Amino acid sequence: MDEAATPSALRSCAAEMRAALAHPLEIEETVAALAAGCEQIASIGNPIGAETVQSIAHRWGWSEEVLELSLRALCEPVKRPHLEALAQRISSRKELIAFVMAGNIPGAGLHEVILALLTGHGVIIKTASNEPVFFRQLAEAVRQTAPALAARIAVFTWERHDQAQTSALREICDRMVVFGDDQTIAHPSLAGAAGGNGQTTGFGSRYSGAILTSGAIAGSLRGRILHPLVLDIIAFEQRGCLSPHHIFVGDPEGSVAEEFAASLAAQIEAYSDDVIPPPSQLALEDTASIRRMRERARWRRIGGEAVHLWEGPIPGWTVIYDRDASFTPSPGFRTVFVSPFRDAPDLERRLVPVKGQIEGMAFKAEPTIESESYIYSLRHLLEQTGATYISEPGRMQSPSLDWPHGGGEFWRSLCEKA
Amino acid sequence: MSIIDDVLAFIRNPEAEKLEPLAVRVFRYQFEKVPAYRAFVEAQGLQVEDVTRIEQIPAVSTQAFKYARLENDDASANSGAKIFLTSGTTIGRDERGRHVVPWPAIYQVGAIRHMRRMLFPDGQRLATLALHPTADRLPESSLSQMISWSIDEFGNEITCCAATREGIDLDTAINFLSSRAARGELVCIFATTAACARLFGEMASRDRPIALPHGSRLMDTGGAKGQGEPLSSSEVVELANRWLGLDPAKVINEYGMTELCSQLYDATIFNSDHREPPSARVKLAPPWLIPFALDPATLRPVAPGQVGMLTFFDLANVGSVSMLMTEDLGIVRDNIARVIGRAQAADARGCALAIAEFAQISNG
Repeated sequence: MDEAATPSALRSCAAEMRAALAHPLEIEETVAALAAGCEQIASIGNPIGAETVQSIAHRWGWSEEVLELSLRALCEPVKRPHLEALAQRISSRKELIAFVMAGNIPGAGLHEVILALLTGHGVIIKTASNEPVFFRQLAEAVRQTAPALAARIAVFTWERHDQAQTSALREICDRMVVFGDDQTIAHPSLAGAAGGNGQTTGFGSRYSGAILTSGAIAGSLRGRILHPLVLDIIAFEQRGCLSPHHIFVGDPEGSVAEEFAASLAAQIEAYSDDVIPPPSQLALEDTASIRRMRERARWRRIGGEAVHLWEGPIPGWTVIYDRDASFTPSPGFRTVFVSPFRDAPDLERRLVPVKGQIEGMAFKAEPTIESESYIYSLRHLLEQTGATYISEPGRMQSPSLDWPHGGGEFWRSLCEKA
Repeated sequence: MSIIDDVLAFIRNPEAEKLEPLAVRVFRYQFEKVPAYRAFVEAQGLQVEDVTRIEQIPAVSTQAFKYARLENDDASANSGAKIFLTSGTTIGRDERGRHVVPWPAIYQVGAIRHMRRMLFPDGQRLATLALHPTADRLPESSLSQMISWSIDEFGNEITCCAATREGIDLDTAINFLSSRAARGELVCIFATTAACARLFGEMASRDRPIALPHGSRLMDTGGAKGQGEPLSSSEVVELANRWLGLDPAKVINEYGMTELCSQLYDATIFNSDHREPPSARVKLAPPWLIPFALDPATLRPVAPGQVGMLTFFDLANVGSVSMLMTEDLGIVRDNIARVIGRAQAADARGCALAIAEFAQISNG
């Protein structure tokens, strides 16, 4: 379903979708269609996947390579076995859920849409006006496999000033799911849907990072960490909530972390130069933010602080080693900070600026070298930060389908027994 | 003549054809005398002799003053040097920039000359009200220094400073303004925009406008700094007219910063031929301050009329570093600047754009 976004079109769409929801749909059919749809959209060998990547690349100026990497990582968990396993844990509902999607990365909200469809709901997706492609293509891929499931998906796009459409969306849906920042997530314009329980679930601003012990990057292990970690950084051009901003290395002296930063810079440069090109251009504010970060690092080093800057062109990449830094948000686009930490209490102190705002953390220790109690203390600390996803490097953009994104409120509300 | 004398001579008597050669000489002087700047230029791989035009001079981020000592080797020999600190509003660490001005006379001459053109073109001497501490109360503030010089230069014997390090005495300020209005005396108010917001807020709560005599004026500066919900420049103009009866053309915003010895001011019909509405005002620089808008990616000037990072070459900064890149975005055309605003800091990457769109809907 894809048509002009007018209030009357939204109302008609909702009526048709509620009618479609009245017809039972076998869970096996849903599982097969969702798995196939995501496989298509994540593969540039498939016409839908190729068109998705090319279309977004053209709109955003991102390289096709980075989009292929990103969408493959995003869709990787949407496999039949995973969907089937998840289907065992949930019971079917028949609500109409509105999704207000973000425009920072393509496909953000996929996990929640999959979960909604798997649990028998209909979804009306309002895309961001700057990224109307991904969910439209996913709906088309599903339609080719399972028209009955596709009848439960509608995708619309409208501009920010089209308030009538937003009001209509609230009226016709049983609940709303909104992706956005914390300051505006409770804004009156996003008050709960008129139907159902009137609930709005917000997925707000969150940060991610990485924690590596010195053992995990010792000797030949370093090379094995760098490749997946760089892909985590490059995927989605660091615009998503699972993109690592700051990497902390267990290293009381600081020299190991600084050497690691140098290696990381070389690896990002190699990928950016030859394998996965950066965007052709950036918005002025993004460029200005990167410039500001670089100049701050440059002058702190000139001023004698323990800071080291590695940089490519803009758009390109930036690595900043900062011995004394606490968690520092990155402006994105392959800008990453590296700092050492002495022990778990020191790491805890360095994470204070993003307390309660951490979504994901890559974590890697080396049990053959490091003590169980040390590794446990770090893992325990990460769990205490509220991170909803702790993974190996290289898996940051591929959380499983039962990922409790944003704390798990939405997941629990759909998966609790009806 | 020394380069200091040459700069002072230019400020006193600007001749356009002398600007670029003097600017290049100033750059070479600063390369020689400011070790941190020399380290910066050398790290760029730049040969000093290859710099022959102003736009080739490497720009230093204003952030540099927070982290490095951009101090002239000659400054230590000058007992009259002044040290100004930035207000330290950087989010996160408590970082205050430090600008050592070895020859304050250059700063003073430049500031007064351009202020005369922009705020006192009618040659009036007025009663003055400072809503920011004067230099005797806040010696580390360059704004305080400038206000004190301005009061001395353009004020009459009636003057009031209603601000200290601790805050603003709004009762004193309002009483002073009421008295001047009652006596029909012209007033010039020097204030930060944040102080204006407090003054107008207090006057609104009392609901007692004051009709200052025609010819009174206000200089505000600082923009959003120190304000929770900042007043826009057009709001300052509107509220100054509503509560003080000020002619909009005489409500003039100054753009300056601790790191820069020269300032830009709103161009209005009072001081120029410009007639833009308050929301679209441009700012005029003195002849010794050259604005650029740089592409933050390449650090080269953008095309005229395009938005870039506002950057200035300021001859009056001869004692430290003259080519400074600010964190503000703006447009420059024919040496006239329009400030667009500060580039936003990096924020949390969640899914922020869509919600922002919807919030804007609701805000109309």
